[in-house]
Amino acid sequence: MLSFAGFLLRRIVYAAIVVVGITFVVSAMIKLVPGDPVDVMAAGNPGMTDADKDVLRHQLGLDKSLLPAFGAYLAGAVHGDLGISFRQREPTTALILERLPATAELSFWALLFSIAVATPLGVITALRRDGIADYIGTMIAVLGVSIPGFLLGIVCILIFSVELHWLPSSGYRGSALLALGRSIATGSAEPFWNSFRYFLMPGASLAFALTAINARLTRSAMVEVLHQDFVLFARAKGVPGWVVVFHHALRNAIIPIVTVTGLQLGTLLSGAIIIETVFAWPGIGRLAVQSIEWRDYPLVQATVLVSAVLFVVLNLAVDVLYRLLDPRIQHA
Amino acid sequence: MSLEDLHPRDFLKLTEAHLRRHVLSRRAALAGLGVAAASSLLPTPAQAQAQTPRHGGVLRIGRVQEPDTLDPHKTSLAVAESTMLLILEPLARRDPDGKVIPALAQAWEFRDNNRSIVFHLRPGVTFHDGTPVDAAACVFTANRQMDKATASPTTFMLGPLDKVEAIDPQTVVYHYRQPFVPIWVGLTLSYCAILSPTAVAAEKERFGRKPVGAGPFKAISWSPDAGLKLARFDAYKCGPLPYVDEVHLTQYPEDSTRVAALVSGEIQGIYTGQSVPLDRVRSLRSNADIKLSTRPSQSIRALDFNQSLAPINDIRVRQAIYQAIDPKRVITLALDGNAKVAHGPMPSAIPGYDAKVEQMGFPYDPAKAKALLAEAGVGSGLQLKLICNDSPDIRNSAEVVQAMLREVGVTLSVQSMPIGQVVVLTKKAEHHMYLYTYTYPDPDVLYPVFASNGSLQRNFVNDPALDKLLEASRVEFDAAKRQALYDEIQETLMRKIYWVPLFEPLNVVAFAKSVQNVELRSDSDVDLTKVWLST
Repeated sequence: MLSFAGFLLRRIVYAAIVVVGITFVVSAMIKLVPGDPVDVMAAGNPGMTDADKDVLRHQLGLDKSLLPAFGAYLAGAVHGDLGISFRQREPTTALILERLPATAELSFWALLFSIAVATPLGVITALRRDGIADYIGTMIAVLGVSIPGFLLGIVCILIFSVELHWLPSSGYRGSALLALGRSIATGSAEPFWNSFRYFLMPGASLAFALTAINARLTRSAMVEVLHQDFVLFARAKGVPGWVVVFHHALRNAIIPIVTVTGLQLGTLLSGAIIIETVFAWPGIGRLAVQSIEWRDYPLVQATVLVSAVLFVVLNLAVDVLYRLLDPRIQHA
Repeated sequence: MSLEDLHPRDFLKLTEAHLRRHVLSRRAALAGLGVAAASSLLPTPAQAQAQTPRHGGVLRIGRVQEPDTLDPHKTSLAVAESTMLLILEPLARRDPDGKVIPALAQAWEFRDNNRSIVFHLRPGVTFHDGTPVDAAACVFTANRQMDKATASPTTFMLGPLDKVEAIDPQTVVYHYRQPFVPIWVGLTLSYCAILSPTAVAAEKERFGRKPVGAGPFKAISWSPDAGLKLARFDAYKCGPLPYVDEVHLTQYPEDSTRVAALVSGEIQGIYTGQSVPLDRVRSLRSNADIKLSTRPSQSIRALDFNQSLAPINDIRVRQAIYQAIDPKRVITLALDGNAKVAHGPMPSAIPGYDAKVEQMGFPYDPAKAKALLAEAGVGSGLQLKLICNDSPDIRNSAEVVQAMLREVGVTLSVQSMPIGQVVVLTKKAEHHMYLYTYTYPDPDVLYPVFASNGSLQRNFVNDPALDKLLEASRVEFDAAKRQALYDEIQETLMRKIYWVPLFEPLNVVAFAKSVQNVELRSDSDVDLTKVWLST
C-alpha cells in the first residue's frame, strides 16, 4: 500500500495546481469582460457622475492591477479568507456556505433518484435487449437527453402545483435529511414530508437527464459483461439468475457508472443554474451567475475556487473508489 | 440674487418644490393614465373605505429581484431602497405627491445663509432594538455614509454635506458647504435613513443582513432559503401602524414560477420593477382571483443615435429610420400592448414634459423613409449595428425594429447583452444605435443623457448650444423659467432627431383578491403599510 500513499500525495499536488490555475484563468477572464462593478451599480443611477464612480472605484480597490491583486487573493485564500463580496459586502465564504447545503442536498436527491431509476432500467434493458422494454428504455433516454431542464421544470410546476395543488411550486424549506432524523425520532412523517416535497420537482427535473445517460451507460456496460465467459461459467455452474446479474455482472459493469456519476456529482455541486432559477432554489449556481452579472470579482473567484476544489476532490474520491470496487486496478 | 440671500422660509419652499417636481404628482399620473385607466382595476378610495380594514395576517410577496444587502450605505439597487424604506426611518419621508412629510424629524428650518438645516427630532422614538433615536445617531449615520472606508455608492446623494452636529439629544444640524436645493431627494430615501449605532456596532458587516432602524417593520430574518421576513414594529411612531402582522418577501427569478406561485396561492402579490411579466398580463387579467393594477411609469425606451458615426450623423438618415418605425407595432408585437407610445426625449409621466413634442415627431411612412435614404446616398444595403440590454421586452422590441428596418432595405444587426456590458460597449462609439432605457422622476435626467459631458450620454452629441441650455436648466431656480428651458431642450432634441422615442412601459402589479387597499405609486412601489388582508 506504499504506492497508494504516494499516489494520493501526487494526486493532491496535481489537484492544487489545477485549482490555482482554474481560479487564475477565471479571474483573468472576468476582468476581460467589459464593465466593472461600479459600471453595473451606476447603470440604474442617473445621478451618479463619472467622478462619483471613480471615487467609488478607488474605495473598492478596483484601480489595482490584476497580478498583485491575485497574489494577495491567493495569500488570503490559504488562510481561508476568500475576500469580501463587493455587492453584498459579506465574506464570500459565508455567502457560499449559506448556499452550499441547498445545492448539496439537491444534488444528493437528484443523484439518488437517478441511480434508483437508471440502474434497474439499465439492467432490464440489457437483459431484454431488442425487446419492448429496451425500446421503451431507449425512448426514455432520448427524451431525457433532449428535453431541456427548464421546460420540464415549468411543465411540472404547471401540472403539480398550479393544476393539482399537490406540490409547492418552488422554494427550499430546509434539509430533508435532517428532517428525516426528526421524523424517525418522533415517528411522524410530517417533518420529513414538509421539507422533502420541495425537493421532488427540482430533484426529478435534474434527475431526468442524468437517468437517461446513466441508464444507457448501465445497459451497454451490462451487455458487454453479460457476454463474458465468467458470466456464462456462473450460469453453467447453476448460480441463480439474479445472483449472476447483480453479484457477478453488475459489480463488473459498475466502474464506468461510478466514473460518470462522480463527474455528475461534481457538476451538480457547482450548481444547476437553470433548475435553481426555475425553482427559486437558493443554490450556489444562482450565486455564481449573480456574481458574474454584478462583476462581483471576489465572489466570482470564491465560487469558482470552491467548485474547482469540490470537483477535484470528487475525482480523487472516484479514483480511490475504483480500487475498493476492483482491487485489480493499479495506479501506476 | 443668490441662494444664500433667500429668506430661509423661501429657501425651504424652493427645496420642497424641487422634491415635488422630482416626484410625480398624483394628478399628473391620473391624467397620464389614458388608455390604461380603462383596464386598471385600481380600487378607488371609496371602495377601499367601504370595508373596515382588518388587522393581522401574513402578506407574502414575490419579486423578480432580491436586495444585494440591506445596509443602506452599501447598496444602490432600487429593490434594496424600497425594501429598506419598510425597515428604516429617514428624517423625513415623501408622500406619493412628492410632499416632504415629517418622519424622525418633526420640524426643521434652514439657517446660516441656507447652508445649514436644523432638524428637531420627534421625542420618545426608539429603534427596533430599543436604542433611542437621538442626534448622536444622526451624526453617527451621516459620518458612516461619508466615511471613505464605508465606500458607499450613494454618498453623492448627501450633496455638499460638510458635517453633522448634535446640538442636544433632540436637535441635529446638517451643515452644507453651499445651499443645496435637491436636499430632500436623498434625505427622504432609505439610503440616508438613520441607523441604530448600537446595532451597527454589534453586527458590524452583518448589519446588511440584520438591519435595525426605526421604520414600520422590523427585520426578523433574511436567508436565501426563506426570503426576507418582516414583522410589524408595534412601537412605530412616525406614521400609521401597518395592518398586517408580517410581510414575507421572496425572490422568484423565473417569470413562470413567480406567476405560478401567485396563481396557486403560495404568495399573494407580485410587485416592483419587472416582476409581473408583460406576456402574462393577458392571462392574469382573465383570472378571477387576481387583480391587476397598472400605471404609466417614469420610464422611456428610445433608439439613441450615435452621432459620431456615418451615415447616422446625416439627419436625413435619422429621419428615414424615424419614419421606418411604427412604435405601435413595437408595442403590439413586443409588449402585447402594455405600453404607451412615447413622443419625446422624456416619458410623459415626468413633470416638466413638454406636450408640444407630440406634434414634432415624424409619422410612420416607409416610402418616405426609402426616399430619404436614397437622397442621402445610402439607398440600398445599408448595414447598421444596434446594442441593447438582454431583458426580454427590450430584446423583443429590438427584433421588431429590425424587421421594420428590413422593409426599407436596412439590415440591422442586434447585439443584446447584460447591462454591465452594455454600459461599457456603448461608450466605445462603435454602434450606430442603442436601444436606450431610463427611469427617472425628474427632467434633470436630460443632462446626463444628452449633455456632451453627461455621465449617461451614449449618442456622442456635441452641441454647444444644447449644452448651454442644459447647464442653465440645472441652476435656474425660478420654476417658470426652468420649465421654459426644459421645453426648449426637448424641442431642440426633437428637431435635431437625436433619437427616436419608442414607448413608455406600464408598471404592472398583481395581487390576490384578498389583498385590500393596494395603491400603486408612480415609482411602481406599493405602500405595504396601508395594505390589509380580508378573510
